[in-house]
Amino acid sequence: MNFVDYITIGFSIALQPMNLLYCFIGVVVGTLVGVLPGIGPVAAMSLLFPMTFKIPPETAIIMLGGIYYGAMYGGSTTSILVNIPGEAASVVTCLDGYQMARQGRAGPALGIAAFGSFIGGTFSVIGLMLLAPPLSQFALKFGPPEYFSLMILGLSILTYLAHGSILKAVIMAALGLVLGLVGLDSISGLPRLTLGQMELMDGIGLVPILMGFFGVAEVLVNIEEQIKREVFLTNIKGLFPKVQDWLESIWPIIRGTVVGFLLGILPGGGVVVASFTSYAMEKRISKHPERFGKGAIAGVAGPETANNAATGGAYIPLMTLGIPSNVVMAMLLGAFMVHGLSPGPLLMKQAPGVFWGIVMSMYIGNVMLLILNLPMIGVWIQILKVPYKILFPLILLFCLIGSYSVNNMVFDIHIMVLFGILGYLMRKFDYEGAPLVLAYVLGPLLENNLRKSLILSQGSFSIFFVRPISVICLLVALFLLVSPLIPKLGEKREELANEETS
Amino acid sequence: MSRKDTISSLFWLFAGAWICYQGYDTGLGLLHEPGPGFLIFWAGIVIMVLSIIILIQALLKKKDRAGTRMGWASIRWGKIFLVSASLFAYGYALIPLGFVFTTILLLLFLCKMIEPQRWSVSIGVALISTLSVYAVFQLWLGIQLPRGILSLW
Repeated sequence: MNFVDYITIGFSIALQPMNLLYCFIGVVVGTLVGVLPGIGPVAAMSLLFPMTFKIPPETAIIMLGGIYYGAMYGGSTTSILVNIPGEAASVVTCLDGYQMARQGRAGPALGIAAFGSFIGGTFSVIGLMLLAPPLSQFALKFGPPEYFSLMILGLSILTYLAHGSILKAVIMAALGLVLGLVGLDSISGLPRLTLGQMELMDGIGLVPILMGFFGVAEVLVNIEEQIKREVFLTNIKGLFPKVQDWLESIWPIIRGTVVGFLLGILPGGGVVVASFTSYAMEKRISKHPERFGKGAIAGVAGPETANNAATGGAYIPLMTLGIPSNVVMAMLLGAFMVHGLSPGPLLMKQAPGVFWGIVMSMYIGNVMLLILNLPMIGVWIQILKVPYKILFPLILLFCLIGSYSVNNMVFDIHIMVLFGILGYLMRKFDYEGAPLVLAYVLGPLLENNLRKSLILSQGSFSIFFVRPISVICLLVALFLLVSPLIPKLGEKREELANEETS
Repeated sequence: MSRKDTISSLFWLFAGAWICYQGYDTGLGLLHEPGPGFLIFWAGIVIMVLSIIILIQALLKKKDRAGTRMGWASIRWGKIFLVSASLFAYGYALIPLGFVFTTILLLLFLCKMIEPQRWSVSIGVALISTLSVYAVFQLWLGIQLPRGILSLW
């Protein structure tokens, strides 16, 4: 079969009525959680995870993927109108988007965010189509040492990019590894860290951890102090940007697409990094950097394009290597596994319909989002007006149901609450949850490949340093971890972290 | 000294030590055949070493007001506790009372105690949300939610 055949298969699957319906559900739910502050795409995906048990794998991934890129579209609405980011990737959109709204230019800001998202999202799918097949061929050369080193690199990038102290981020990653190893050892069959609890023999579930860290902890953070929101309702007109707006935005959109896609591919990278990098780049390149933060349309167009472009790029490590590059991809990995599929270099050969169906659905999803977002902006604004005191009990209810319904176990609810409290306290003490969650997912894979490598080399660590791909990954990881000790590089990292925090 | 970092690093120091012990107890194996506790042990070592570094950094930092007070004065700790406790209680009550009753009670509690609202709003939110979720998850998706006392009828 050639490339055209694969695309035809992909579209024939993506255009099936059931897949279209679930794609629609995914993008609507994604936009909704993007619009609503306090619940992000990870929590929404965890919540709808049980829905995917009874549907085919490609349909499940199509819906969960729709939530992911849908949230990137929706996140900009809240940032522009309320100055509260709907999700983390839209934090930077607040800077200029909200200022534009205050100047009566909410319409063009929302419009350029939607068009930029569409362009970034669509081109990243083209990139995914072109890059995934050769990369999956290349990935066939990977052995346990390469996989181990690549995962170490992914975790190092994530810890490097974490807010604040890199030491704290590494502690979180190490803890995540340990949590991922709870349960029966796959080789010896011995129980590990189960504390005598039968429920822990199968390990700690991904969904309760995600719901706790990203759902309950977020609610606890939001209710600790009363938040007042002000929605700009009066000036939302002219959603289609004018020629001048396009002229100012076209290059930020092109650059955002390239940067976002490349940063999405990077293990440990993702949408947040993409949007911040795009913003910083636009500000540096601009002839009028003083306008940034005061309503520059390039400050909306670039980041909003980049975060959508990153969603397509993020699929590449998962689909070609079987390694999730961020927490959302970890969730998708879980969905693949529930359906008995292993994403990786062989996925395209063993299940071409699944792979190409998912990719083609992303085109359709992006078109749906563009059509949905602009005409429905009024509906999203009404949703934004729902007071948080009504919203938070519902978010908690969805977290409870999501955790319980995966295994029908009350134990999972308690695990979720524990991780919610832990996640809340970690934030209070300036520890970040993302390295923990990614390490938790990678833990069993990482251990498996480490043990296999050491068995292959008869106990010699040199196996990691004689293979080129492995040694490159480890050297880059080492550089990232020690770079904060180098004064100049340390300052740069702190600058980046401070920018993100502010 | 940074009080936040001192407290958290001490916590992680003990947690790391416990993880190390658990790894050792499970079995480290040999380098050419690592045991099930190998990675756990080394992860524990990493946590301990890093927490010691954070502790030293925290102790060497100059004392400041924000550091000593941790800036937590405005936090409504009572609300945080009530929400957490009610979620734990929900887990314990779910099987005996059933999904419908437990959920209505939880939502009423959250609506009245955490961010107080009118009774009519609270009852409306509790009833409509519970029944909608029940319809979607139990009736549409076929997920078995506990019936509890409803099974008596």
